[in-house]
Amino acid sequence: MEIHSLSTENFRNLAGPPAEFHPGLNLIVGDNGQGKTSLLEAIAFLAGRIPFRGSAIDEVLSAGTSAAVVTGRRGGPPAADRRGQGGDVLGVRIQDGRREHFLNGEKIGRLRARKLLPSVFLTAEDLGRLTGPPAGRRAALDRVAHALEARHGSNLKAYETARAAKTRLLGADPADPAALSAFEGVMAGAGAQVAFARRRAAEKLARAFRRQADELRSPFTDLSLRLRSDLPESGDEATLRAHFQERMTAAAPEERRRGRCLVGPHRDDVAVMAGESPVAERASSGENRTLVLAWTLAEADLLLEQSDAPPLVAFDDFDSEWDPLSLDRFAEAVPAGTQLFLTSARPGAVRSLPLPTGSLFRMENGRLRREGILGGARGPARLLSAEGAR
Amino acid sequence: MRLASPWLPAFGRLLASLERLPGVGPKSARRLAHHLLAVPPPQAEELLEAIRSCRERTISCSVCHALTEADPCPICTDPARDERLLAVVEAPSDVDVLERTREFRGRYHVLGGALSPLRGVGPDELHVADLVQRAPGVEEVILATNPNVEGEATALYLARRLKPLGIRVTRLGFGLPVGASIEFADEVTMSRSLAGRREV
Repeated sequence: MEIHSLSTENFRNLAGPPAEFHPGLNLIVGDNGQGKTSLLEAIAFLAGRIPFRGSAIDEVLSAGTSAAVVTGRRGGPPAADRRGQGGDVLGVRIQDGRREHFLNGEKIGRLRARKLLPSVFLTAEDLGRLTGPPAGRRAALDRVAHALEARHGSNLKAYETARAAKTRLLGADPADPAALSAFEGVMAGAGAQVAFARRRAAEKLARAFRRQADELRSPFTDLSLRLRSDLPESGDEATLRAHFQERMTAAAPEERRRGRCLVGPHRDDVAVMAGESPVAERASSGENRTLVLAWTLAEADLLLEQSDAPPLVAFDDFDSEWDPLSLDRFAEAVPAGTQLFLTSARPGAVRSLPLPTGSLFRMENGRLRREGILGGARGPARLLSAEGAR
Repeated sequence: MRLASPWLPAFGRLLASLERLPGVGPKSARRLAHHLLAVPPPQAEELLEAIRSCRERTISCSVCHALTEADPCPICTDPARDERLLAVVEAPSDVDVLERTREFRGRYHVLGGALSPLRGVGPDELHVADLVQRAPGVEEVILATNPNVEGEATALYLARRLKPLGIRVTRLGFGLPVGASIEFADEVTMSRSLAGRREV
């Protein structure tokens, strides 16, 4: 899936006329702090994803403004809106800590926006995915679960709302057992569905991850991604639900003592294993980054399975953290027909990589300027019109 | 209070009051305020009087907590209504919705909200105790709370309170809106509809 053009209003420091993108490669160069990452973030918002760098939603607003808008025209066949009319203009409006998505001016859900513009992003915050806290790995797994299971988002939200309610009740003295049990009932129902969807997603992701890690020639063999959960590894939703309910009952005295929820999918983690031992501690930081790359490409594979076109792939500051060999293999592994967004502080960065044809842009003070054409057609990329290559 | 026109303080006060109404933004408030100034005086008086008398005469039924002008309300006192069947709803406005179907011939119980520990709403803040008091003589309770976390938790809570009393407890079905096209159903609604499918 691709995005033809993008315009923003009051989005971070982005300014200037609408940008027209290449359906293949878009290489955006510029010094640090000029808006390269913000441009990718604007695309991420349009595609229904969360803000980068763990920002609150309102942090994307330019200073002194109260609402931001991002609009973009997408490629592919027109999507039908509620009135049954085709359209290809996606929009997102950010205001009062909330966002609303639009297709041709008609409101759509965030899930629909994700489906209309499937995308995979790799940014600085993903680099520590293997070694960082579980939340990052859970979020990456949930993106796959969202793509596979439409209900996953609402189940996750229901689970978290019920958990917040239960936590509040646990803090009350005395805790009302009947009300606690009611919210635990909701947690058990939603949590079992969350767990089931995550398990399915982890199985699929693990297969694609192993394939991609091999492609990138990771030194580790017998790689797998394993869901670590309080809930059992097998069984249908009803079994998971019953098991979860039992675990909550067993944990109840300790939960009351400590005033928080001690079992459930909110504690899930994804372990990257080589054979039976976790990889993160043994791998060098370079090897860890290669595995993050494999995970990202695996996510793109699964999105491609769910859609008729490969997802948009965006890779922030792509040449600063990976060695040329990994980048070379990354370039080879990207499916044909993928629209790629790469940002870099060095315009010559793509010169030796086998990347598709594309456009070279320069980002300066939030303004994007097209500087030339990149020729490649998956041969070694050459800067045909290389004003920007210094 | 933000005054729209400093030289028209009364007009500004009206604007501010109108803006506080649900679904009314600054633009609609301005349009309504100008309209209220332009209509003949009796019409504006009629609105004032309607609001005043509605506020004075509408009370909450002491049995079911629905809105009424007579206590108990006409539904609670209607002998044609089946007193063995009780629909439990969150808000008085939900009674109107069920009544408009003309299908439901039982009686109501308005909870006055749903359990929400985060907002400080527990069973004691809802009309739960008098629901349990009404239980003798009731054979079936239909839980018609909203299909969100608070509504579901409230339904589970009530089911656990009512079932031990030998009452049949049912929950409203959820799924596709009638008359809508399946093509435009969102995925969540569609999957709830699948989960709640029934044999024909």
